[in-house]
Amino acid sequence: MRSFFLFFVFYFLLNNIFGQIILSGKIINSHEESIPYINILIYELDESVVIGFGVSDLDGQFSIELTTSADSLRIETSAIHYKKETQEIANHTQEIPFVLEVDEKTLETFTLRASPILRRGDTLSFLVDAFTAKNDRSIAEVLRRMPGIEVETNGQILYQGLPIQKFYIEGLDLMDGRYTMVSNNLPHQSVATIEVYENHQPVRILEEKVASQQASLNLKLNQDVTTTGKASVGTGFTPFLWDVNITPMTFTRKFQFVASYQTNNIGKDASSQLTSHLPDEFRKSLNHPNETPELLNIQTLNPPNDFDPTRYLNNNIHLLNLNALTKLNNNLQLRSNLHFITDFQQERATASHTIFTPKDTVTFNENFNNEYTSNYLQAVFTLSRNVKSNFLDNKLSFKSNWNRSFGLLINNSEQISQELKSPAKSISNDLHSIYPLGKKLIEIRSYISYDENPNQLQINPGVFPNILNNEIAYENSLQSIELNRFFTENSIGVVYTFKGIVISPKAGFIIRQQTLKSIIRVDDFQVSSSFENDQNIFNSQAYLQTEIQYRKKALTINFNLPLIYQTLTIDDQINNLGQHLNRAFLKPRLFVNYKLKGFWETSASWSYSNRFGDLDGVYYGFLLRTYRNLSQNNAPIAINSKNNLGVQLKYSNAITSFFHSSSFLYVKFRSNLLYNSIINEFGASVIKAIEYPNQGQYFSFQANTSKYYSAIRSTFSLRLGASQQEGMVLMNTEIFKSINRFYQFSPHVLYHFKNWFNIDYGLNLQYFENVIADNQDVNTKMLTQKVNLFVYPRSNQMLSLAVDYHEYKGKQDYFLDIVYRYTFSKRKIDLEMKYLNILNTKNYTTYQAFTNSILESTYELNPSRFLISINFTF
Amino acid sequence: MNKLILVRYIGFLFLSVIFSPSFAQTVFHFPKENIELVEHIVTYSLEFQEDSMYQNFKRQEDMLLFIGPTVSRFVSYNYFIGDSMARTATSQEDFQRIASDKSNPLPVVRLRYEIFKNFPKGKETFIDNVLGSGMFKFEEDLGLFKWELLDETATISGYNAQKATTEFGGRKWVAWFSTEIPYNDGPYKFNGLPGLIVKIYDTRLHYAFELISIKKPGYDLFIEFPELDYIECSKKEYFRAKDAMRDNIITHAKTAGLNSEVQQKVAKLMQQRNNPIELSRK
Repeated sequence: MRSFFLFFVFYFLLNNIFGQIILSGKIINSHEESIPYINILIYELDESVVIGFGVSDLDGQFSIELTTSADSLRIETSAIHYKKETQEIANHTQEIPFVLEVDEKTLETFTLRASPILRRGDTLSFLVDAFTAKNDRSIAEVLRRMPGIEVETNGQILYQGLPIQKFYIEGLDLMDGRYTMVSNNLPHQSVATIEVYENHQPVRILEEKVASQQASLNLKLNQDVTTTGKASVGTGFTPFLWDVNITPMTFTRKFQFVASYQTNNIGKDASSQLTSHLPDEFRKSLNHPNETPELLNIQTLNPPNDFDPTRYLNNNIHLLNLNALTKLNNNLQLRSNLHFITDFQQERATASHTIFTPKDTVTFNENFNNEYTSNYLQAVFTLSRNVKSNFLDNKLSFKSNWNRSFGLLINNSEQISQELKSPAKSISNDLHSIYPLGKKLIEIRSYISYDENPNQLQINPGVFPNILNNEIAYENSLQSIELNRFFTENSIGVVYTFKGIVISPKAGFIIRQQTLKSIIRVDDFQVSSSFENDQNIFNSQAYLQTEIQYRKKALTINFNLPLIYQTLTIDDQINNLGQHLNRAFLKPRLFVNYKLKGFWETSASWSYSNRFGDLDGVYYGFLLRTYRNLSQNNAPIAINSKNNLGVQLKYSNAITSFFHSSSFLYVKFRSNLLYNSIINEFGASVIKAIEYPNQGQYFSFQANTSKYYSAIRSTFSLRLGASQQEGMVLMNTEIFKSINRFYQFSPHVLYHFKNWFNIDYGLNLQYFENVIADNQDVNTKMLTQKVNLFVYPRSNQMLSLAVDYHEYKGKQDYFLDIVYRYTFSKRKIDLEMKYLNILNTKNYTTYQAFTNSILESTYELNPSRFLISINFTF
Repeated sequence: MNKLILVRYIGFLFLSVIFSPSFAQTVFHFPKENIELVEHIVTYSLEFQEDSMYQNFKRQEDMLLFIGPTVSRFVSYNYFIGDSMARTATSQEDFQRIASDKSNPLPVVRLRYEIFKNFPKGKETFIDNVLGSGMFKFEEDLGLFKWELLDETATISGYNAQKATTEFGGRKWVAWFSTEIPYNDGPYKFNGLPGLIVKIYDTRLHYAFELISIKKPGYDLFIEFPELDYIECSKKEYFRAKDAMRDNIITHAKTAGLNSEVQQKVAKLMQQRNNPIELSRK
């Protein structure tokens, strides 16, 4: 009690010396209107440290509580639009009114440092050593750590959130967008500094005309470095397995060179580092002819998409990639990028085809034993000049392959051998140039290509004696074709800038000319002229584009109207047939989007397209395309039209973690052609295109729902799908309707525990039904279940386990794979161990459904395999 | 090989969406309220540590504070630029054209939130996009901060500044403000000091904002409040949505059709983002 009393005495004493005071008041202007948002600052008389402060409220009132021992105080107002007022006051509670005068302060004085936007032309340098962590190997891993730089999972490099434009090594652009080959393989020890050219415009003629937001990177190497690189070696069994990657590099001032040799027989795609990060590569080639026309083939299977090819593929690939760059005179640079791939693949499978017609069902079996030998060489030479007055970039490409396939096939009981030689050669030139014309710039693009595809398919014995050899069985047939194609696309555009946007209107034309010559020989004698082709196709196009748009609040309507004018002339010398067409095509497209309130969104789109079929698919005389497919297309050119309607409804609520989307698609297609197949009991078919206007339709419905429960750290999701396709089929001179229905039910659960454990289980049930001519009904179903488990016991270790289960027609297949990865941080070595197909599952059966047929295929799988691999740099 | 490239391309698009929530989510119409004219554009450099495990790995981003007579808007520089570019799009195709324009690409945006202070009066409005679920919006009181003034002074970015401290969002913050710039504003939600905050950092140095420029706009630039169909929620609900999205990233990656290896990679990347500016989720 006494101490409490003492405390009170002490408190009042203190309060007298350092008494708490309240300073309040009202701030008004000369019109006696109150002013809000004025800072009020309290100082001790001759000090500059603020000891108390307040802000005037909407009524101009302020109130500041303060405890200080000073005798007198200074009170100041501070605001951007008013003059500063200062008063000296005594240290006690009081009211201080202020009347402020408007102040026209010049505010430019606040500019302190140029903003990042104006740092144009600056070069930043980063010392590589300063950003290196102990686990780092390649320069890409160090880049990721530098301020402003990021590296995406696919290897693309970003600076300040934007993809870089150029990846220079000592100022030279060796890799042309394929820089992952260097960034992932160049050891960071070889690089001294990274230079960032901000706002870099790589095309010098555009330098002051087109501003660039993007940066480019330049790697400055350590002085003593001329040769460096990375290697990884993996090996395993059974059989003997390997996976090797050696990437040496040499850099000097006038000459640069990067080579890479990669080889494996574990079914891995070695070409992934050859992907370009230039967005151009995706947009090109829409009009360009199909690179591989594939008119002839040995009989093969197309494995389903969801089945990992490394399970059955038996490969032996060698890839060699060479890149070199030299500086020439006259500001010219010559770059060459070459790659050579040689691959040998083996495929063993059996297949059962069931083809349905209204009257009967044809079933035949095939047993495949195929070998593919491919050799592919691509060489690209780029000559470029990049100076202030003009820009030139000319790419000359040669592509050549010598592919041979050999198939030994057993059809029911007959053994048939097939040999395909499909070498192809092509040359193309891609020119891109920018020249000034007055104040504007003219941009010219020109692409020109020529290719030759002499293919030969030899079959022993043949299956078409009645057609090809007056019903006498024959030993040997040889289909040879020669397809030569010329193509050019040229466009001219004007580039000018408007309010910072680059506008480039464009007009262009396309010319395509191709000849097809073919003959069939049976036992070295040429078959009659209806099995021969000598045709010439000429096609030209001119294009323009328009777009109309309407929008109001949450509604957006977009209408697109590209206009193409085409002429087509087909002329066959042997059969004296041909056709000539002039036609304008419109491809209108309508898109409507309506954003509903809150979590809902809906959109709808419609498009109509109308166009010629593929010109490679026209041949007036018969072609023996595979051992059991003899086809002819002498009907008028296919004109396919398609009406496409899609509706989508989405609900997504992240607060409750509930997501749902439903979509509905309706397609109506029309064609003037129908393909008549005349099929025998061995599956051999004669296919003829016939002019018979027909139409079909397709519906599909899909729904996806998912919900995340944070309490149990699990996500439950469900996918439902249903679709139906109907169309006309012409088979054995009978026209009938075929309806396919497909249903899918697929639930999923994902559980994750902290950062070091996650497990994922999914089930997929498919049901397929085929109704032929309203009377024959066939169905089949397949069940798949998958479990994936990932464990991260430490940050340098990863263990994954995958179990797959497939069930088709009572046959059950299981797969089990384990992968373990360990990183030695000190030694700069990564170790990976894989144990694949642990249960040594021998084969896998799946099905694919077509309009009126079902293909069941059984793949022979690679045996149980163990693989260990090591990565290191040199 | 073509399929592989396509998968990679789809994967890339997905990653860009996750790690840089795109600007225009299909609606190419940007109704907005022009609140008032911008008086000053203040640029802060933000250095932050996304991954609390990794001390050396700092990200840097420029942030803009648009100050008007009564209201301010705080937004990342990349978002502001990208948004301005995306707004020129008139359709999906047009947006894709802009997005794929190599000579003038859209920036990848990491911080997509916007903060409007004193809008409505006495409050602050926070808007942000949560992947796949639209724009979220909530309001907080402006007077969130209890500042304690210290008598330390220093010259920062050329201004005489005084030190102050506060606690906010589960972190202790040190601020330096300058009475020479008579605004009571600052980066992020920070405000209420009698002068512009020229530098502010938390005591663990996970987040640090520093003034790098003050300019006047060269044209009539408005503080624009986007009039979208917001999901109006509480701050807690916003955090719940944001956290669930982060924890549930594998499912989102799977929905986008990425294979399990990439799903794991995405999850690993997401785990590295474990250090939000506001640690307390209330």
